[in-house]
Amino acid sequence: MTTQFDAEYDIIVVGAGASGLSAAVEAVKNGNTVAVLEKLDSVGGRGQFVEGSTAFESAEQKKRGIEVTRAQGFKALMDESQWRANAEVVSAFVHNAATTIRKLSDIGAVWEDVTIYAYEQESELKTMHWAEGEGARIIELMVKAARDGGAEIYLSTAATELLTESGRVVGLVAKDADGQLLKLGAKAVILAGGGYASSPEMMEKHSWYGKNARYFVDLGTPGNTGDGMNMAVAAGGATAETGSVLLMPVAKGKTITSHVSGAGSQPYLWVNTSGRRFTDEVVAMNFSDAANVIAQCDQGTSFTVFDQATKSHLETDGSDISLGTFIPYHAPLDRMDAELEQDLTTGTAAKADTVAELAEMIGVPPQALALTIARYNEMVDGGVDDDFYKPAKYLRAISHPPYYAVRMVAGTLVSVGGIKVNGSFQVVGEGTDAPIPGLYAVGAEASGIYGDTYPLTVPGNISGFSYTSGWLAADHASAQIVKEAALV
Amino acid sequence: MGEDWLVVTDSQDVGALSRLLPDAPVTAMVIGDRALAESAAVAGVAVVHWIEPDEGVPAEAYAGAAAASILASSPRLVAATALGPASRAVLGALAAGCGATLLSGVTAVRDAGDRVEVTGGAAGGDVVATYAVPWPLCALVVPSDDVPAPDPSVLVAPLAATDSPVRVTARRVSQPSGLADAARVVGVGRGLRSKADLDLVRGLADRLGAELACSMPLADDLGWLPRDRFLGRSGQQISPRLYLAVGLSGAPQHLQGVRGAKVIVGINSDPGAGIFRASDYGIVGDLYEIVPALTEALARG
Amino acid sequence: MTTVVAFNVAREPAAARILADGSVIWPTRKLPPAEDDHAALSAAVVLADGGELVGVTLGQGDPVWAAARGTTRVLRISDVVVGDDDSATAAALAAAVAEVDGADLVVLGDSEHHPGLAPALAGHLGWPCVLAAAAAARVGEGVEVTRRIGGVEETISARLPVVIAIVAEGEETSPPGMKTMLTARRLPVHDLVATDLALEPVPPLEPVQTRPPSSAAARLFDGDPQQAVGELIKALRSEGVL
Repeated sequence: MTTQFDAEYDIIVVGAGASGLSAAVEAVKNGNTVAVLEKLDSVGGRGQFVEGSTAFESAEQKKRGIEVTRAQGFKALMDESQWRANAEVVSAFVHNAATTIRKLSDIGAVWEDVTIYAYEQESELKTMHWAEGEGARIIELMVKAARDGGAEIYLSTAATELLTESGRVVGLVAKDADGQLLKLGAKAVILAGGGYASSPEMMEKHSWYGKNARYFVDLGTPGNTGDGMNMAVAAGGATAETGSVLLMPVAKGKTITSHVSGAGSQPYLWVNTSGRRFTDEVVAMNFSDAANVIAQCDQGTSFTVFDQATKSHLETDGSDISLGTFIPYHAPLDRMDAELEQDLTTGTAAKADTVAELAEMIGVPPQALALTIARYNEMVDGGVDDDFYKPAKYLRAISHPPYYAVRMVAGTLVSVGGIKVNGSFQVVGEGTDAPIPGLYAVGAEASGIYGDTYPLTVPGNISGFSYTSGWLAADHASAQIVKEAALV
Repeated sequence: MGEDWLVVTDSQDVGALSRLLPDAPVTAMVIGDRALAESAAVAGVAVVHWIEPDEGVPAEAYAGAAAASILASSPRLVAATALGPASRAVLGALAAGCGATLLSGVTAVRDAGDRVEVTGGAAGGDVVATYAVPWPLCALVVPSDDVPAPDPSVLVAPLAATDSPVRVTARRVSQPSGLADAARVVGVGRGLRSKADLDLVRGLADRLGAELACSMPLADDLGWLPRDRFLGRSGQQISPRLYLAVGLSGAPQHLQGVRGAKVIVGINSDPGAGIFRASDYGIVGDLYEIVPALTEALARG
Repeated sequence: MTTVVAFNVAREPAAARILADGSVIWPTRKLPPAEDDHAALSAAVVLADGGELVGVTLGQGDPVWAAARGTTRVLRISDVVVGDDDSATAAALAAAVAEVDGADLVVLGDSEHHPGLAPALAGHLGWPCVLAAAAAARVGEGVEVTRRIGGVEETISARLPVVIAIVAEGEETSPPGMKTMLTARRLPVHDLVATDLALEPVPPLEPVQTRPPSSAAARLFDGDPQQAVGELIKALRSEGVL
């Protein structure tokens, strides 16, 4: 049986984000006819929000005298995943990430710096390659390179179903901007949809946060609804480690550059909806871990409580921890008052002259909050956190009214687990160890380098992985196409 | 070899004169009112030929007539700016009429004997390119600030000309059409200290006939402007002729929303601000000083 | 009466790759559509008014792009490419227009980067032109053109034949879907070479020298606010944006 296709390509890439565009650039470079289907009306997806990108032993690192070996990278990623990561996939990434940096330079990327993410974090590897114009610029460059090479990029065009013939993927069904259905033939399909973070249902079903995921705020683009994973599964593909999601604390209703949100992200007193302290807030230094903590709270919500003295400290001395370029280390958070004008009316923040009033405003039991603050102040006086062992420098008394509370939730950046792939980024069949011919998954659509959590200690890893897995899959698919053509 | 000409149809066109060959007398061809014709009577111009359009006839309707008159002198070099459509129409007709090379973005020409060397911005001004082409040359030049001194002794000679069948049938002040179609936009960022200070920036926008917009944090975190006023990847994407970014750092996401602008101007106190890398022009300074000064200077005209 | 639309005949700087020494590499196979092309196409569809709409383009033009947006057939001069001499590009386009029986109206984008192209096309055809137009419609035996310059909106009436150059006032709002694009591949493309049209095969103009501008960054004014503001206003005036 031969399907009648509306058009046939060598390679179809589903998703025009960081990983899909990388695949498209490489696929046309290898001489293939390529179509890229993007569901949204613009390219880039969450790749637009990328700050920097991981690589090991890159020319840019060497130029700057930075030595982070591949072996170190491999071990760090495996350790961070409690060895739940797929060593074959980690190895492919670690081995080729430096080549990615060079490939991006070749199409015009300029690397301004290689560094760590949070300056006060001692355990981070110096892997974060910062490009001029950040991820948004890389997207632009990849679009240009892909188009120059002859790739056709179709916007507002969603892939809806994979077409298979005797166990191999031969194309897909797509729905275009006008709602028309198309059957497209392909020798290989590369799924690069960027995961499922835009779908509350899939977040609840697949992430390990379960029902609490419904309280998360999505900080990314709306297209990442797990289409790749759903299509792969329908075509017989397996999933692995689907639960990991990269989160970041954010004040409810605010952006990640907000100063109120920045204040809420500091390692001061955090309480839950019961008015009780529940963690060592120093976790704030690692935003991914910090958001994991908040995500597990009742209603996925915590409150960061501080007094006027601490507010003044933030306004004049600046933040005690950084959130990348959004809230730089020691940046004075001097816009808090201006923001609070709005935030005090929307429930994002509360301000009161007494602890009891504050508790009432944020809906926690006043007595519990009073007890929590009394206990906390006692430890501040003693200079030792006997409950959760937070370093003394972050112990700040809550004694100078007015008092403030910022409502914090977990913001979703991207889901980072999904389709099970092998070291060539071929989708592996459910219940087998064998790849499904003609089907690949890359970037946040693929599993492989994570356990249940995103490791910030290797900063820039999801973007580095997205770019790298994209072109590696395209290379493998190209080689297969050549091989199969030779057999015919 | 023939004459050198300057075509003038816009009040700033005389600024093109200093881009032409030095020491060569230039004949001006003016299509416009008497004031425009007289503005072309400056040092370096030998004579001004002046076509005064009839009421209701756009200047470009005389392009054919002007071109024919210039062609009769077997021109060597004809220059104009791309500011007014009429000048472009004249040069287009001429280039076709005498087989001249027609280049734009020209900043300098040099006589190289049987050829002319033309220098100008290529690839949108990211490169300075020089071409060597045979005479004659039609050059759309970038006007310089250098306007030669008026010379009342220059003869202004009216030229009778018939127009082509093009008529203006209605003319009205165009209505401001909202952010998406605005010709000018002023965007404000977190350099602004309070909501009340928005009036300062609004004053500048009004003076420019510009729409007011902002960065995402101003709408989302501060709520100082409605959400449909923020520019960026996830907000409005605009392509005005002028975008003036005031107190705006120029985050990549913001720049995604404004890259369609023809000219971007940044005003920021930090010379290292990202906005300057995306700008064509910038003023390094305190917006609280610059914005009032700019508003006032524009009011003076 | 036949309406012709010229498309993909202007180069957008964003498509260029610029090397460190200032040499400029343009895409060799296909030019991305120019900024104003989509507006020119939709204006042309209105002007064709259900009649024939013939697209003309050069070697790097993408006939599918135009066919998906309403051209009924495309003429392409496959061995001529867009260069910096707008008159040379226009001469080739004029020769293509001359191949279209009954052509009395040519529409094209009024490219900011090729400001001489539309007027030179009018020149080679010996027709008048209306430049910087926003919209146009056929009215009686002629056309009515709307344009907005410097805050004034004009309505201009012109008799045929005429060249109308359109400036886009925004990005394309609803590009055709993939199915329409694929179907458009089947619409007829008539490929010609320069010698078919008795055009002299002139290679595109090559610069004798290129260099990056002394400063690619913004021109910054600092120091005294009054003076900085004055210099900025002067610069913006010469850009024609004030």
